[in-house]
Parts: sequence; C-alpha cells; structure tokens
Amino acid sequence: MGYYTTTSVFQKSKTFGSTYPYGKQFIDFLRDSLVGADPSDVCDPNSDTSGYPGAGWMLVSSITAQISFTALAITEHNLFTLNGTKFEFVASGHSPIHGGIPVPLGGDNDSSLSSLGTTVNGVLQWEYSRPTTGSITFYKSTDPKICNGLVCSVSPSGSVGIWDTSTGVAGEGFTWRGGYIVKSAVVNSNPLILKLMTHSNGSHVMISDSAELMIFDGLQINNTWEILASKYQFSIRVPSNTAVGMFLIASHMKPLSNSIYCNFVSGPTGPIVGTGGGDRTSLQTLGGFYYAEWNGNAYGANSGSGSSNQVPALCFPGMPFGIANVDKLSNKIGGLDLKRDDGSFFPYEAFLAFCDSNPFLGGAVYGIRGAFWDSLIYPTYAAVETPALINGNSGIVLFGQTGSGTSNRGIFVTRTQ
Amino acid sequence: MSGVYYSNGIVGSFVCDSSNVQNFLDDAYTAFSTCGWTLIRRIAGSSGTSGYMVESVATPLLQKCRIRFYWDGSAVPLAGFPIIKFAIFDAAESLGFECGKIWIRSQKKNRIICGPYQFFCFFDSRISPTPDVSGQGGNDASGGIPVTSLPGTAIWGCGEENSFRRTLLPLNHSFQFGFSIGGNTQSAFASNVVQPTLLTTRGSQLLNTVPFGDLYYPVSSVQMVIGLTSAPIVVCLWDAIMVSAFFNSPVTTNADFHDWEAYSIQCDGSVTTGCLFLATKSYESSSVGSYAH
Repeated sequence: MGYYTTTSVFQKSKTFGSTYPYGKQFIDFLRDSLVGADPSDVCDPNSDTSGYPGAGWMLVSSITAQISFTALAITEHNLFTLNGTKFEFVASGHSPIHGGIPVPLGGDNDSSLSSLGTTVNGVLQWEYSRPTTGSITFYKSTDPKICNGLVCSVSPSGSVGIWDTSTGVAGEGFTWRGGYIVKSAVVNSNPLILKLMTHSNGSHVMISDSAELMIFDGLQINNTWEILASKYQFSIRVPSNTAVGMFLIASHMKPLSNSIYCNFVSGPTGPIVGTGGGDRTSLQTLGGFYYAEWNGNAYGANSGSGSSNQVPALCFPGMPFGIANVDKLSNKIGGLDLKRDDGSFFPYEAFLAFCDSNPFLGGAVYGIRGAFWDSLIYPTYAAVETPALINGNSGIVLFGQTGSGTSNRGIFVTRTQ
Repeated sequence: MSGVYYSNGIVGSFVCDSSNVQNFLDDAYTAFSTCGWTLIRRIAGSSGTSGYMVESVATPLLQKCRIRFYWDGSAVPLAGFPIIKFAIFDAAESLGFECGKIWIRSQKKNRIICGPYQFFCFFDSRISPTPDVSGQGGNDASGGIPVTSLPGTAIWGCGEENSFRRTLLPLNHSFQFGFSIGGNTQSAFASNVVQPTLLTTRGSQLLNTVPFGDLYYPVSSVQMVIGLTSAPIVVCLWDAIMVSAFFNSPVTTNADFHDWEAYSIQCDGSVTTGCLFLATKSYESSSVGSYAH
C-alpha cells in the first residue's frame, strides 16, 4: 500500500529570524537539505561546515541577485556604496571628496545613472539594466553565485533616491532575488524544477516553478522550520503550527494511469500573513494556492479557479451517497474513525486529483493524476505532529481533518525516516 | 487500495423461477448448494411447500452463517403475490433477522449471484422481461459473512429496496437491513446505528466521484461500514469490488481471472457515487457459470 522511495527521508530543523539575512539563510537551508550542504559556499553567511549529502535533488544553477534604485535627485558628491565599494558622483574637472571611486555626474538623473552603471560594471563587473529613465537595476556579477543580502547604501539618505529593498537603516538596501534552481530526481521525465529565491521583503522568500507561473512568497520564515525530503518530494513546515504561511509541499509525484509525469506544489502566497494558503487546517489546504504540471501542461491557480469540483483534492474512500450537501444529511460516518474490527485502519494511497489545465480557462478535465510519495491517508483524525508508523518507518501526521457530514475524516501521514 | 478478498470457492450466477413458490425455493437451494452451502433442514411452509435452512461454508476464520428461505403463507395485500422471506442467522441460530423478500408472480424470474459466504438475489429484466417489475418491492434479498480480521459471529443482510442493488447506503425505513458483529446486533434504523454503508473513492470534500487521468475509475475492495456511531466497524465483502463511478446498465467485464457484473445499477445516479461489482465466475477448476432451471 502506498508508493515509497527506497532511501531514507531527510529530516532537519532550523530557526530563522525576520530581518533580511534570514531570507538567504532560509534559501540556503532548503538548498542544503535538498542538494547537500557545501561548506565551501562563499555566499552562505551562516555556512554549514558539516557537509551533509541532502535528500538527492540536484543543483541546476544559481540565480544572481539584484537590487534596483530609483533616483530622486542625484547631485555632486552623492555616494553609492555597493557591497562595501564606494562610488562618488563628481562634476567634470572635480575630484572625489569622500574617497569614492569617481563617477561622472551627468546633466540629469538619467545620464548620471548611466555613468554609474558603466563605472560599477567596470569596477565590480556587476551588470545593469535601465528599466526606466529614473531607475537602475544591478543584477549580475562575474561571481556566478552572487550573494543575496549584500548591503548597498546611498548618502545622504532620503534625498538621492530609494532602493527597492531596505535593511531597516535609512538609505540602505540589500541585494535579493538570488538563489538556486534545483530539480528533483526523475521518475519518467520532467522532474520538478524549483527556483529558491530571497524576497525583497526580508521576512520572506520566494519559491516558484522554473517559469515563475506561481510564486509562493507567503512563507513566514521567522519561525523554527523542519524539512522532510526525499529525492522526489519535500515538505517544509513550522511544527505544531497549522496557520497560514507555515507549510509548503512540493512533489514530483508518482504518476498514475496515463500520467507521464506529474508535478505539484502547494503553499502560501502573499508576503502578508492572511493572504492565503500554506496552512494545515484541513485536507483541502492543498487546493489553496498551487502549481500543477502534467503531461506538457503547467499552470498556477487557486481554490477559486474553476468550480468546486476542480479544486485539487486527496481522494480516498468515503461516504457513497450525496453530491450536493443537502443529499449528505444522512451521513453518519463523516466525523467518525473508520476502524476494522481489530482496531486497525485501512491505509489508503495519497492520491491527488487536479485538472489537466488551468480550470480558470475552461475545458479542464479533472482526474487523479498522481500519488504523494512515502505518504498514506488513514480514515481517522489526529493532531498534526502525532507520531505514526508508515510502512514500518516512523512518520507523523502532516495534516488532516476531523470530518463532518460533508467532508471525509482523514489524516495525511508521511515518513520522517 | 487494498486488494480483492477472494473466497477461492465456487461463485456463480443462477436463474430462479419466481413464477412458482416451490420452483423458486428449489432453484434458490440449487444456487446455494452448488456454491458449497449445506442443507441443515427443510422448513415446512404454507400450502404444502417446503423451504430450506442452509449453512454457509466456513470462512478462513471458521465463521459460518445460516440462511432460511420459505413461504409462510404471507402475500402482498390485494395483489395476492406469495412472499418468500429470507432470514440470516448465526451458526447457532441464536440471533438473526430478515434480509429480504421475493414476490412470486406470473412469468417472473429472479437471479442469485452466490458464493460460499454470501448471496445476492435480485430482479434482472433481461431474463424476466414480462413483467418488468424492477421498480417494485419483493425483488431483493442479500446477506452473508463479511471479511473480518477477528473470528466470531459476523453477519450482514440487506433486503428489499435497501439492497445494494438499489442503494449503497440503506436509507429506507420501510425495508430491511441488519448486522451482527462484535457482539452488536442491529436490525432497526436509529440515529446511533450505522446501517451497512459501502465506501467509494471520492475527494476529501465529498464532491463528485473522480476518475483517473485516463477517465477510468478507481477500483478497490468493498469496504462496508456497520455498527454504532460510537464505534463503527469497517469490514469487507467477499468476491466483490467497488468501482467509484455510477453505472445504470448491466455492465460486465473480465479481470483478474474472474467475470464481474455491475450490481448496483438501480441506485439513484444523482446521489450514488459508485457501483458494487460482484464476481459471477472464477476461472478455477471448481467454478461454475450460470445455471438455469
């Protein structure tokens, strides 16, 4: 019963704060857990020197970080400090007075920013773009793993311009959106490829599919997190906390029937608590905000997309009667444990149903596409984190619901070893 | 999903002449005896008819049940159709309850799908086109020993329009159901009684049934919930599968060295989310197919 990976489940915990360095640490924690910890990683300010192997995912590439600046009024002797290197605007024939690398002051913000970009590129090899005449974005370095969280500042603060991030100190910002692209092991084809990136809000991170169709940016990293990972699948959660923003699950699922491959991610969106998703309050949480990829189709959606019959759902045996709620009034078993006569439970595979294409667009076909690995569903209820045995290995209740007249009672149990 | 619970005994489909009391009783006995049930005694009935008390084959946990079927002289008011009553008992006949009624009327035939531990008697319009009484009472009787994990008395029965041919969740208080398991015997509707309920695979929010991506529906062992709301018990049926889709026609198929037939085709498709399929033939040397009187 169930579908199991042959290797142990990787399990690790770590505590993070809410200020900007912790976003990078959270991303590194995910990378280390999935791919393996690299003690030589120069970009990890909290580098783990133990060098553990990880869950069996592969590192595809790094993502360079970036920082953007919008100018208000650039005048002579204004300073830009990028990762400790100071640049100073000077008019023609004048010299720096603050010891910065001279940057020609143009006749306006636009020409000044162009000069800044050219100078920075020549000195630091940071590439840049000019998205608008009044802004500049630095986003590349000759170091392929440009670090997140590099502090950038401007002086005097307040009048020269605004960074798109803030360290909390006036005039300071930090590089962000850098991270890693990782991919799962593959069953048939098309492994799950994820981007792990920092967020412009230092309290959050961004996890997305490779095309950024769905960005999960609602994880509340200012907590103690635990990851459970295998080579195909991982979940991250704040133990014992089922609130919004405390959970994400990603899986290159066991494909079923005519699924060549089947990838699914469910988690929170919105860097403000309460935006939605990423909770463990019921079995329906998987259909909150999600990314689905199946046999060439990929999309991001939420529980409001399409009809209620098209929301991703775990499928397992339950009440045989009633489709509309009014028909289920005779349901006596909805909130009851369903045990065998010897007190044990029938285990059920963790089948997941979702649409083959975005239900918001119409024409989508709903069906059971895949199964979660190393996980089962039992027709009972227990609180999250309750220990359980699954296929002879230790496990826990990851999420569940008590059941009612209109919903199944069940718990999703997953391996922890 | 868990696999099918095969009795590894004789299963078969049998036609019974429901136009004559004694013919029906004799045909029903033939069905039971062919599948290994033994005659305990004859039951003297009305107008010189003779019914039967038969005992099942012992399950691997050494459980047995007994089925009694005979005519006690009762008849349908005004129409006068004789009513054959089925009842199921434990092996000691210390407890039991009615599990169905079959009306005898002109030109009618019923079928019995039978195995060593259970039976299902029902109306099939394909073999009894005149009259078509599929919507009528007096067509259904079923019951037997479920698959349990522990030994001890375990019997179930669903009769008349509460049979699994008409509903996967007996709801009609006018008709019969019953069970005895774990020392708990119930045969009357009550708010704390979980009448035999067959589970189907559905989304956790209990919406429509869900096929796989190839549009075929999940197939699983038949899990039946019975007992009290304080502690319901899940048991299984022998030689049966649950397909989590509704069918309203007599679908037959072959799989896993068995012939299967859709049984729950008279359920209400607007609310029913599955179909019970019964094995009608096993491709073993000791099996038998149809038998006609």
